[in-house]
Amino acid sequence: MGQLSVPETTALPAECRESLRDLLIACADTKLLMGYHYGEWTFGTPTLEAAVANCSLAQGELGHVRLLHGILKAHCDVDPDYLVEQRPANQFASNPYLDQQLNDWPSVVAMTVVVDQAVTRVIHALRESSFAPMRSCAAKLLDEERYHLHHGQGWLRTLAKDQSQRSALEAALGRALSATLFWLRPEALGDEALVAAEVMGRSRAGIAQDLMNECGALAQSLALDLPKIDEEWQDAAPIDDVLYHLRGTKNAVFKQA
Amino acid sequence: MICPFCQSERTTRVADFGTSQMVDVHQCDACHSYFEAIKWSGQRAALDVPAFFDERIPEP
Repeated sequence: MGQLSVPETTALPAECRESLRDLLIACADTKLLMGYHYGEWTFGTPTLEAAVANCSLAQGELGHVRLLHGILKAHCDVDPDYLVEQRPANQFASNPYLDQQLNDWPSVVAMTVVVDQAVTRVIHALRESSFAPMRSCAAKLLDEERYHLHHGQGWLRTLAKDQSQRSALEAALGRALSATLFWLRPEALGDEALVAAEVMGRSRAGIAQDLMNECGALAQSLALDLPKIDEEWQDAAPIDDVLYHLRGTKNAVFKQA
Repeated sequence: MICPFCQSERTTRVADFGTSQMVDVHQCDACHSYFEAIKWSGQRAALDVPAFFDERIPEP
């Protein structure tokens, strides 16, 4: 797809500009929160190898945030510092699964398998975008995300073999899927216009269906019993404790030094 | 992946991430050395990932 090459959002149809900006902020916010959680889980993992991996996954996600923030600043008139440091919590557009601290290892694995996969599918839908800045960085992000999902699926298979972990894993996957389907909610996102303008190759409604099919098949292959999707999920915001550590609030004074 | 120490082609990938996120870790089955390799420097490792990575986007 995509004979168009649109270097600036001002060249996009008016109905697309706001939708594209919001889509990129949603991806950047999700990756920022994932970076935080992966960083938190650099210690406390079941193996040292998983700790090394989480440290690298955090680096990867934060690097992707930097790329997306650069695009938002250059093409969407968005100030990345405001997004991270000053924006009210209820304006974060991240996947709500990440709003709370992740208190056990199955919850971290579910983040990788479901939440990371969902945002990666969104990036994949931008791989051949008519919006050139996104197209040029999507391939790099996808190359890195292959290893994220490979790592997550490996741990999913490991935990699924452990009878003592299966119920916690199933519960975590259920929460992750419910939150992610809420995050990908199709209504009022303007994806039709983005798809029509070839900015996006697939709408979030389609991505949600693909994700459910993928995760359902994976769970079935491992005889995991996924809980019913919670369709009453309510929008929320990252809790104070998460944002306090994410923003480094207590260290803000040193920025002025 | 070829071992940088003994040039054997009999090597095994042992970890997804090495000392930085851009490398993975291999072990040589011949000389038993461990070594890191840049992930995207040529051959693509066979990974357990959803198929969408290599698919064209289905919707027009």
